[in-house]
Amino acid sequence: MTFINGLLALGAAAFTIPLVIHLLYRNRFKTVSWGAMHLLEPVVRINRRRIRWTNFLLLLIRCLLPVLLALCLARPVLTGFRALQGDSPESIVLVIDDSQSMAARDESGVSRIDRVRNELGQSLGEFSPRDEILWMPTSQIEFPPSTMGTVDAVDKLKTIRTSSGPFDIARVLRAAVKASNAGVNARKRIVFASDFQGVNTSDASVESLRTFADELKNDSSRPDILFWNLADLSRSIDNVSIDSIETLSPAIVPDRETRFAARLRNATDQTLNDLRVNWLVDGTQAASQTISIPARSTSTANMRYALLESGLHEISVSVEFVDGMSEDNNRSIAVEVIREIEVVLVDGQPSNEPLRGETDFLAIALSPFAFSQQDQVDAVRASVIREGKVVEVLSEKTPNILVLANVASLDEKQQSKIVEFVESGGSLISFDGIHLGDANYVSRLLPASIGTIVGDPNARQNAEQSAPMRIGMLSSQYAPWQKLAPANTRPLEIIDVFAYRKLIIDPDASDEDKPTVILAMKNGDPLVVSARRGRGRIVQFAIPADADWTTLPLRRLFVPMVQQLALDLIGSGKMPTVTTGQPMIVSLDELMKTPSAENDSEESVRVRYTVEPPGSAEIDLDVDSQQEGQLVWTATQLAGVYRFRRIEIPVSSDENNPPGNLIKSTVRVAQVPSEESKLRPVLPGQLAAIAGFLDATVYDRANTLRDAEQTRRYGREIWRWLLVALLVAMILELVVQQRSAPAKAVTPTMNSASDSLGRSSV
Amino acid sequence: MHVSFLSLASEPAHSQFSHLRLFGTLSMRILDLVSPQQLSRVAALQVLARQIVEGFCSGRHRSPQKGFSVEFKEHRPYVRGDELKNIDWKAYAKSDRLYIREYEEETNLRCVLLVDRSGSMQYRGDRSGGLSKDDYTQRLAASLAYLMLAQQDAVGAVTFDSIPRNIVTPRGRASHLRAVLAALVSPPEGIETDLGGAIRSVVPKLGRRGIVVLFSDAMGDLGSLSRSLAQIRSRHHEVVFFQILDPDEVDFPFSGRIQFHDLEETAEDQTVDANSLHAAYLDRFEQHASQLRDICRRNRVDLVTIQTGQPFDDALHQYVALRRQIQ
Repeated sequence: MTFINGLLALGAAAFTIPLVIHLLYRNRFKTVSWGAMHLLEPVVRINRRRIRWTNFLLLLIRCLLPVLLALCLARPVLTGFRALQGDSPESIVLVIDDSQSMAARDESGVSRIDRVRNELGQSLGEFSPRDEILWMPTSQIEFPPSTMGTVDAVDKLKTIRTSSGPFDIARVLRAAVKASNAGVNARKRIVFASDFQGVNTSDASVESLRTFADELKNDSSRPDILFWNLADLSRSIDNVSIDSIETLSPAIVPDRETRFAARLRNATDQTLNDLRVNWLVDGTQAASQTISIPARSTSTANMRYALLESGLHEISVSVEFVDGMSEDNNRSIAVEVIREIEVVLVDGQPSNEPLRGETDFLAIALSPFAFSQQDQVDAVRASVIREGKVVEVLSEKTPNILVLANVASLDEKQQSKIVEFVESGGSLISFDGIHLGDANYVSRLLPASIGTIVGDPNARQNAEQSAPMRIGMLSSQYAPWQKLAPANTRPLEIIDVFAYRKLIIDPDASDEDKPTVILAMKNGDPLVVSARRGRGRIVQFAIPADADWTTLPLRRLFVPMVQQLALDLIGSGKMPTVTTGQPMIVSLDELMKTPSAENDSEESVRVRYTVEPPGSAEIDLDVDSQQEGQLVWTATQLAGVYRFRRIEIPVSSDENNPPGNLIKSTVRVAQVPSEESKLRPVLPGQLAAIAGFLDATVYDRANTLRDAEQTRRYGREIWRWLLVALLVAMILELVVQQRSAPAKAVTPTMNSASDSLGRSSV
Repeated sequence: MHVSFLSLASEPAHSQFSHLRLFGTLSMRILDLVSPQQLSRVAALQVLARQIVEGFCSGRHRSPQKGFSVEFKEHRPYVRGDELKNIDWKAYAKSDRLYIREYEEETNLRCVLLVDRSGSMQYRGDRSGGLSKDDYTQRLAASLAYLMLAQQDAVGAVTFDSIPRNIVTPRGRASHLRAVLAALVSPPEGIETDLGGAIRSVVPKLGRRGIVVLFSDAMGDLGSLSRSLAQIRSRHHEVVFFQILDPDEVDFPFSGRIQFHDLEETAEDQTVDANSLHAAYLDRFEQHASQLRDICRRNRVDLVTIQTGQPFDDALHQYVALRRQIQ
């Protein structure tokens, strides 16, 4: 035990005063010659023990009073409660939940993150100046934590924003523990301030946390973990949110109306009528409407709009309503308006009969709406030619994709034209067939050599059908086909394959030239391979485009498969809208200037790429982030629009202040998952269980957390207890004194004495 | 010890009861028995008693000289042998017959004052006007004696502590007052109290029916006292018990550390914190008072509790009321 005002503890010596007074007065008494000893003597005899104990108790209390008062003023601290000796500095990892749910406000209008700013800021002010703060918002656990002092941490708290998405509590705590190990001080602690939403604590996450906790148990240097739970279960927060914006059209092409739908959620207990919903396209008001949403349900707002220019556009929706969380009252997505994709199909085995030509199924799959004469717009316009027209067509139209379907052979001029087409950015797709075995262009144009035909190519036409072969799982390396069947890892298993070409990949090829297998047979033989050539790409199928060798063209899956492949090849496989935290990838092609402007000053400029995050200044992108012809931006914790730009700077210009020319820009949007708007915190019992794994302590208020910290670090101040004891002792002293020395007896008056004169006998 | 008023009156002073001082029968030798200082105190007490009684009676608008005696009762016819002086000549003149005037018999009340002069009676508190209980008792007993004698009653006195010390036989002469007073002012000889024993030794000698007025603080064995009172009552005496208390004994006003020294020297000195004993003492006092009231009620004894700070009128009123009841 130590004292904050140690000198005042010396006042405890005042306990001797009543003792001395007692001893002095013990031998000082007045003598009274008493007549009624007949009455007094038995009273003394009977009460002697009681009187002795009462006097002893009174003396004890009176001695105790100055001791308690002195101790109270000296402010003693019980150091037995503190974890370690002394006030050595700590490394404190501040894990702040900066997800959108932390923006929820209580009735007084104070948001959860505001409480963190105010209350935690106040607590930080009471930390030791020598403490090391490791700053770790939940949205930035992938990055090394910033190290700072308590003052800087308070400033940092003021600037924190809540626009990120859900986090995995297990991952966050793993990162926090890892960060604490990097702290310079021996004593380590993690303070985790969050509203602990259910979306952050999935079953898998809790299980992972349990495993991590087991690992931590054997770690002697593990940090103390404190949870500050900011969720208030006692009341629900009225909230209206926009959960999603979707494009209902399969492809968006210029100057054609496209349908957009926004789903709005009413999480209040009353029906909301006449809610105004505003649609913005590239920041400009495009439409406005009013809708009604029943209590505790969702409703959809629609908009038809024709985007005029190709490229990426921002679509935003906002709803006008004052609720507990205004941050989710608007939402944005980015959509890509693509130019019509020109696909030229070279049919190596044409036929006049329906669906007997080599490219018939392919043409239908590329333009399904045109085939079915529907109103909707196809993203692809396909035209079929013979191989003799290849040079002519490539010279005239410059299509986006050239498809060679079972083409027997190409002359040198045709092959050169195709190579030139691919090198300049065009895409080539090759389908196999019986003619391809004699083709002369395979080694020059296609990424894989061809071998023999596996299976019987005529098996489907013949009556005696052999057992079909099966296609394997979808490759996780090829994202566009992942969308074919999200819940099914083997959607192609229903397809019967009777024959396929053995594709041979050169094992000695360099990494750049080595093709990637994007689909394989169940036995592992490659079925579709892809390779980059110059600025273009080549995709080689080991099966034909018609239904001779397989039943693939007959399956419904064939249409989206071909569509996705086409979109991917022209570069629309990009993800214009990502979830916060996911990386944004921008193809450099997307930022290429138009061919007409390319001739001007290609050699005399220096190219610079920038990104402008929401609410931030423009940032130069490192050269390192430009991987494989694409820009990768990982700092997407903030929801909103990110603008990527390509700027060309003349070499001759001033290095320090270069006048850049904006060549082209594009956008990406990071959005927060709608789960953040549901505001469903974990139950206290669940949180306690999670804390139990880690031996963590859960606090509901910052001041209790602060008190616990003070106790843990310095010990427990007990002056309040002593003050209570002092008051109790004073009251006790009064009571004991009153019991032993009642109020002065009233001397009988004449009247009362006269009353006693009445005759007592009858 | 058995003390007989009759026998005592004729026995020499050097007998086995030599410790007793006898007044009344040897009143002519009073100066031999009291010192000049005592005699002056007797005179002072007599003056004081007269002042008290006259003051008391003036308030009552009735002169004590008219008294209660010599009351005409009736006429009866003269028979031979009757004293001629008793013939009512006025009645003879009117009726021509001889009638004898008959009066009520002058039966003077016999009153014995039993005065406790033990050590406990010497207590003098701060609120008693400078009088100890013994002083107060002297004045009160003297006043009563004066009043009785003025009413033609016979008054005697017995002072006692553990045994009777002074005995004055009851007589109705006014000059007898000095003998009574002399007994009252005589210095106390013993300090212990044996209230019951002392009274019991006096009872057989009280003679015919009369009033016994007992002055004491009753600080002693109440069982013994009860038996003594019963003995007195069995002889048809009326008993008035003046319990004389000091105000300090009633409310125990002491505080702090006090060493109580027993005036009767029968108990050891008690050094106590008076504050802590206050409540217990009052309980004990009330218990004692209650017992005393019960004893008096059982024995049909008139108990008058009086504190030394009170005026004597209260006690005299009480006596007069009682006297009327007896008549």
